[in-house]
Parts: sequence; structure tokens; C-alpha cells
Amino acid sequence: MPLDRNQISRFGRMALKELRETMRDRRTIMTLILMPVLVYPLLSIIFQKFLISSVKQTSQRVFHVGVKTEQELFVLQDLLRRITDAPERTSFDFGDSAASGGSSPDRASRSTDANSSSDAAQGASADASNGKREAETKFTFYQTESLEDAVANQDVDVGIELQVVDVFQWNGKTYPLIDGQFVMTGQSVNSKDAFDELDRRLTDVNFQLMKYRLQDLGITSRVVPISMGRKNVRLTGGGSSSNVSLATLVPMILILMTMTGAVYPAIDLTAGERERGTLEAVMATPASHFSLLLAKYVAVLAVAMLTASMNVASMTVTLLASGLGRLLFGDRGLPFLVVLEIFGLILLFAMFFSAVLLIVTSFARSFKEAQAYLIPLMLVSLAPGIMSLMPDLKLTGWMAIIPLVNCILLARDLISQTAQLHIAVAVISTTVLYACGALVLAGKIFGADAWQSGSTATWSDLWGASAAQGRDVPSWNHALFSLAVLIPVFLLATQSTAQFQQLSLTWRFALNALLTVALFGFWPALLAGVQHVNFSRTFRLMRPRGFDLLAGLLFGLSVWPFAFELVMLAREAGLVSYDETHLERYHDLLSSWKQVSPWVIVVLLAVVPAACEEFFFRGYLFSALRGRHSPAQTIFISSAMFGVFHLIVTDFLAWERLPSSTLMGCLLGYVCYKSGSLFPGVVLHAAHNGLLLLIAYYRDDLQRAGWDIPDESHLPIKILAGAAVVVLAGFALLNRRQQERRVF
Amino acid sequence: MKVLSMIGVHQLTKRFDAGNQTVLAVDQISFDVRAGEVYGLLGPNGAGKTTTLRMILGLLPPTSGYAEINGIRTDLGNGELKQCIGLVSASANLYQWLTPRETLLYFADLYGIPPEHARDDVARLSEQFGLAGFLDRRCSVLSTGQKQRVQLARALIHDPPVMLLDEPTRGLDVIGTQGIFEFIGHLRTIGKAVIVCTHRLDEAERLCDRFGLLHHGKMVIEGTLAELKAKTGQTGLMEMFLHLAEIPAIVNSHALSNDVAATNRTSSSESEP
Repeated sequence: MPLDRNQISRFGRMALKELRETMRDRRTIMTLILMPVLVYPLLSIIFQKFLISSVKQTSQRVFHVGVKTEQELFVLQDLLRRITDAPERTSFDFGDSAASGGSSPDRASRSTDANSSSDAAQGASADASNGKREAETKFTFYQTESLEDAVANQDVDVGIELQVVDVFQWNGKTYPLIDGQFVMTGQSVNSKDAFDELDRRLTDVNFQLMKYRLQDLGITSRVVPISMGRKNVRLTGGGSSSNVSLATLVPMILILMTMTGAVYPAIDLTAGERERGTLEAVMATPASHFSLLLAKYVAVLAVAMLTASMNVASMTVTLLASGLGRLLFGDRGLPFLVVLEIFGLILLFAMFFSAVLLIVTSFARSFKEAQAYLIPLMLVSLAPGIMSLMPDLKLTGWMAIIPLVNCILLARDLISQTAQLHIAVAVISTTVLYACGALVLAGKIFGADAWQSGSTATWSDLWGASAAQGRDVPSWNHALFSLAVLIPVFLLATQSTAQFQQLSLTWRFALNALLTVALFGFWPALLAGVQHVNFSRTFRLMRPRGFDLLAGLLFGLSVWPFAFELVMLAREAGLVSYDETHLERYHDLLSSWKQVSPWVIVVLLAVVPAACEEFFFRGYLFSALRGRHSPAQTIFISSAMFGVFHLIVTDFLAWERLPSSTLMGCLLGYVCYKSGSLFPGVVLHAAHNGLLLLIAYYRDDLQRAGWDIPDESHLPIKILAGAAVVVLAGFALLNRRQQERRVF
Repeated sequence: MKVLSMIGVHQLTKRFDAGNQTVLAVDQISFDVRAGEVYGLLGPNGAGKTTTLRMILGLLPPTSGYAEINGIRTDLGNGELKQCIGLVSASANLYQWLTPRETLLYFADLYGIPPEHARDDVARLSEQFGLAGFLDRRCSVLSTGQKQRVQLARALIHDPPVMLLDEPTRGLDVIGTQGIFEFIGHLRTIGKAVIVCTHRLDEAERLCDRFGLLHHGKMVIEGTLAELKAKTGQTGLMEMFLHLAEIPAIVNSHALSNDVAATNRTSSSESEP
């Protein structure tokens, strides 16, 4: 029964009462205001202390190098600075010099015997303070008696011994010929890195000197066969992968804080009420449990979103004030639209999480018990949250239906502006479904035994027909719950079956058919069984009239041209989702079908899915909706669900198919309503699917026989006219007798 | 001509599963209450009084038997039936962050009373129960007596023909208890059918027109005080109960006194399953 204006305003007042009660509690205010105000400045300090210093470390490495004599130091430094090909990217410093900004005080104090040439120190200092280009590698030198001891004590990363054995002249300058060795330890990463870096630099020097000596010998042409350069490019999307993973932190923190904000009101409005003894009087009123729960849900959601808003505000101020925003999001910052999208995503997640919270807290006898239940839930929620921080994690397929992970990853992709529309739709639709499913479960648990100070509800109460004993058909809540489970499981399962590429096509078709039977047939049947509803009435298993079956067949054979035209009109209106690649893949797929018998295709891809989908959509779902809505509303809602289902189960979002799928759902709903039986709809659905599949299967043969089957243009008017006549005949047959069955 | 009963209880039975054993909380009890009549459902703690009330209210499904209000069964999930019943329970509490006015308006909403009527009802009940002085103060700062008056007003916000009172004087002082007595007298005057559950047999004698004595979930005797006296040969309800329960009187009177004292010390709910 539709809600009238009075009922809506009454519900608004109920929700307002819950919100008022929560907002007057200072503990809510603490979570709402104090937490964000304190958390973000603290987090920014932690970021700046640890994160930024670690970022600096990756861009500027400081190596501590030990030498025995001042002369060795001078020679080495001179070589590295003057001969290496990138002197400006290398700086030198001294452990005890005033310019040794890169060395830790601790290490400097340990290197008390270090000494250096003041000239070199000044030169190195000038290099380091040059400041135009940030140095990538910095060497700090220490003079020490024993290189082995200095390395073993980790006073230096690496020691170097040099002995000048000869010199040579080139271009008016004198260059040394040197024998030497490194002193390093394989037990220290820094030591190995310092060795690698110095070795690489000296190899470069060797190579350079070799060229000079060859030129001395008169060999001036190119002497190395391979000469490779390096070009560094930035990732698309404006940031490096590490930046993207840092940006993931922002939505994750926001979502976690939103969760924190929702926890207290959820406990207080359910377990808290039970504990304080205010629930029994409420349950003694005629207000439905579900409406009471819904009012509480709205209040929890409102507080969660207020918390999110406070967090966004506090985070924005902190990011602006601390300059962290530039580090996380680059110079351009975050576009306002992206902020709005992330906010919407948080709302979406809060819708789901608030409902989950209410399920858990409705079980609890007291505040303490609810807290005990929620701690594991929060910990479980942290795991996917942390997982989503992995920079290489892509938001595709499975990830799109994992709660929390999907929202955080989508937020990350929105920030990096790499989000894909069809994945976003999958994330949004599955999260909305989860939220609905969780709300239905919470409704079944909430107040089931409010007369007790403690709950004795069990998980089996979720399945039983406690509130609906004696019902003939499933309730609206049952329908939502069944759909919330069915769609994610179906998406997961179809992706899993796609992995079985080694199986023959027939077996893969059979596997899909089996899956369809299990989910669209067995699942609603199981629900109907545990809910003790009237099976025959729920699934409309009445014997059909012959004329109705015939009408179904006529519709099934004749509506395809109109479906095709609707797709074409949608494409002309701009709803184009597939391109040449998709078409090519589609034609390849059709070619591969040739190895399978057409009967197998018709049975496994047309008849079985048609029968099972009818069993669920026009059976279970239709009956559940009909218990609450008028026939027209039931047909419209069930067909909208049917249309959206067919939209999101495809590999890509074929938007242009949405109107035709929805209208097909309307026709199937109408046939079901008029006939009072499931079977005419099954015939219609199977005939429609089967005919389209056969046309696709015999497409080449049909074209050879002179039947033009266009891909991208409208059908000839004669086909449409002929189909219209058959459709009208179907309507006439269906309405032949007005003596409807009393099913609805 | 037979007077139609407002409340009918027929062979009402409730079993609870408590682990491996089954507890028979209410065992095939039957009685009826007419409009303008106050019925005392009496017995010690754990006798099954509150369970019976909750089955009448439709909060708890009976194992067998049924209760009916004005001829309509209460176990069939008919929400509208709750419109006919008002509940006052000692274990119930008020929303501490709301004011009495907000509480009454909220319950008016839950009972489907239009807001414009609800405001009039609140004004009427405020005058009737003397709430005007604290109508807009938070319930958390009200005294026990003031809270009790708000609870009574709340139970009458939808003007139900049936009132169920579960241990209405528990935790109240002499003045508060007197207020409850006056309230029950008022309900009788305005023609409500009232069931009062209590283990205070002395109070019940003063308040009720008819009585049902429960023991271990069974109705041991039922009728007016005169009928009970005639049946048992005892003069007071306490003696009748001890006589019918067939337990040595001294031990039982002591146990009952302990029960009463314990209940007055604490406001915890009954320990029924």
C-alpha cells in the first residue's frame, strides 16, 4: 500500500525524535566534533614527521663513506665530482663540518676522528646549497683509521681504499691511475646500496677515462656498440603510483571516521533503548517494527553523514594549513566535483554500514554487549580497508562487489580521475543492494523480543517467518533480501565460470545454465520453503489456459523487432556503450558457437534462463511486491529491477538495452498478471530469447538467402508492421476472457 | 442478559525453551474482564503474570490458547489491536533526553494520532496528571513520582478501552502508590477494562473487583473477593494464596515478605524466562 502524506510526515517526526535524542547526548557531540578536530591535526603531524621524511629519503639518499687518508679523500672526491656525467645530481659533505646537514648528529659524534680538507668541504657545501636541482645522492665522507672497524660498527656504510699507481695527461689535465678496494658488509642494505652506487659511479669514471685514453691513441670514432639513454615520463592522471596510494588514505580515513560516527548512535538507539527499558512501551504501540527501525536508521545515517561532513571540513582545513594537500593531490588539488563524488560515495557506504550496525546492535542486550559485538566487526572492516591501500590493486570484477574495498577503490580512482563508469555503476548498485539487504535483516531482528530486557533472538530468526506467519506470499522485505543476495552472488559466480576456458563451449553453457537454475530457481524456492509461504501461489504454478500460452508464444515471436528498434532509438539518442572492438568480439563469439548444436544453444541459453528468470522475477519477486503494491506498480517495479539486472550482468554497461529490457519486463509482468500463471511468460521469454539466438546463429545463412539483417540501421517497415499485427493478436488472445484468476 | 467481556483469555499457555529443558510459564489459564472492571492478576514473582500480559498485548506468541480484545484475537499480528491497549509497566522507562511533552507527542505519533489532536491530548493529560510544571524539562531530571505520572499519561495518550498495568506501584513511595490507586479508580470510573498484575496482595484487595491467583503458571482460583472467601473459607488474599498453594504458611509468608522487600529494593525486571 503506498504511503500517504500523513504517514510520511509521521515517519519524519519519528526519525526526528531519534535524531533529537541522539544529538542531545554529549557523547555523540564528542564523536561528532572533537574527534575530527583532534584527529586530523594529529594525523598531519604524523604525516609530516614520518611520511614526508620517507618520501624525502626516496628522493635523496645519503651515503656515509669512510677513507683512511686525506689524500684518498681528495682523489675520490675529485674523480666523482669532475668526471661523473651528472655532477649536479651528486653532492659531497663531511661528517664533522658545519655543512653536514645530511648526516645525523649521532653518526657525526661517532666519527670523531673524521677530518677533511676545508677546501673540499667548502666546494661540497657550495654544491649542496646550490639548490637549483635537488641532489639525488649525497656522500658524506669520514676519515678513519680502520675501515673494517668503521663498517663493522656501522659508523660508515662503506669504506674505500685508493692507491694512485700512475697518472696520465689528457687535454691539459692530469688524471690518476688507481688500484683500490671497497670495504663493505652484505648484512646491511645501506652498505650494499652505497657500494653499488660508488661502484657504478667509478665504472662510469673508468668508461670515461677509457674513452680519453682511446682518443689519445687516435681512436675518436664511436667505440661502444650500444648506447642507451633514459627518458622519464609521468604517469597519466597527474601522480606517481605512490601518490595514488597515498590519496587512497584520504577516503579510507573518511570512511573509517564515518563508521566511528555511526557506531555510538546505532548502539544507543537499539541496545541502549533495550537496556534503559524504553523499548517495550514502543513495541506495545501499533507502529510497525520496520518503520521504527527505519526511523532509527535515518538517525544513524544522519549522524554518520554529519560526522563525515565534520571530518571533510576538518581534513580540508588541515590539508590546506599543513600543505599536505599538495603532496597528496598535486598542485591542482582536488576538483570540487571529485569532492562531491567522494562525499556521495561516503553516503553510499554509510547507508550500507549503518544497516549492518543495526543488525548487530539489535541482537545485543546491553550497550556493553553491543560494543563487544562491534569490535570484531570493526576489525574485520579494517582488513579490506588496508588491503585497498595497495597501489597496484585494480577496481575490476570481484573488487567491485566487495563492500568497503569497492568504495575506497572507487574513491581512489575518482581522485586520480581514472574511474570507469560501468565499474562505478556496479559499485553503487551492489552497495545499495547490500544496504537494502542489511536493512531488511535488521528489521527482522529489531524488537522481535523487545519485551525482554535481553534479546533471545537467534540467527535463525533472520530466516523464519516470525512476523509473517500465515502469509501466502513472501513479504516485500523478503524480496529485497533475496535480490540483495542474488545479484552479487550471480556476478561473482559468472565471473568464476569465465575462468573455465579449458572446458568445451557446451560444458561452459551447461555450467552457466546450472548456475542460473541454482540462483534463480533453487534460491527463491529455498527462501519460500523456510518462510513457509504458499509455494504454488508464490510462484504462480497454476495450469495455464491454452489461449494464454498461445498469446505468450505470439509475443515471444513478434516483439523482437520492437526491442531492436528501441535499441536503435536509444543509440540515436546518444546511449552508445559498445564500439568496434565489442562488435568484433561479439561476431567472434557467434562464430565460435557454430561448433555447438543450435538445440544446445536454444535449451541452455534461451529456455533454461527464461524459465529460471521468470521463476524469480515473475514468481517470487512479483508475488512479494504484489502483497504491497497495486498491479501497475508491481509490474513497473519488477520490470525496472529486471531491466537493471540485465544492465549490470553484462560485461560492459549496454545502456541502450535498458529501455528494451525494462519494457520486456513490463510485457512479461502484464502477461503474468493477466494470465495468473507463470507459464505463458516462460513461453514468451523462451521464444523471444530462442528466436534472437537462432537469428544470430544462422545470421550468415540468412544473409545468403537474401534476408538482410542490419547491425546499425532500422528494420524495414514491413517487418515492423507484420510484427505489430502478431503482437495485437497476442493482446487480443490474452484479453479474450476477462474472467481473471484470483491469484493477485 | 450476559455482559460482553472486553478482554477474554482462553486456555492460554506458554512454554519457554531454556537450554535442554522446557519451562511451562503459563498453563492453560482462562478469565475475562469487562469494561469498567479492574481485574487483579496476582501471584508471587515467576508465577506467570507478566508473561500473560505480554501474550494479551501480542508481544509474545502463545504456545496454545489465545487472548482476545473485544472479540479480536491478539496473536494474529493485528497491529491495529494495539490501538485498543494501554500499557503501564514498572520495568519501562522514559527517554532521558526528551521532555515529557516530546515523549507524549512521540507516542501520539506511534499510535497514529494526528498532530493537531495530539497537542490537545497532551494539554488534557497535562492538566489531569499535573504535568504542567515540568512538561518541558528533560525526563532525566524528573523525580520518580513525576516520571511515574508521565508514564501514566503516556499510557492514556490514545485513550484505549483496555489498560494493562504491570507492577504499577513497584519502587514508589506512599504518595506515589496512592497516586496509582487514584489512577486505577479513575480508569474504572471512565469505563476501562483494567488488568493489574501485582504480588502485593494487600494492595490488590483495595483496588480490584475480581481476582485471579496464579501459582507456577496455573490459575489456582478466580472470582470476586466474596466468592473467594466463600470458596476457601479464608478472610484475606494472602491467607487464601498460602492455603491454596498448600505450603506451610510461616515459610511462605516469610518468602513472600522477602519477595516484596527484594522487589522494593530494586527496580530490576522480573526473572521470568
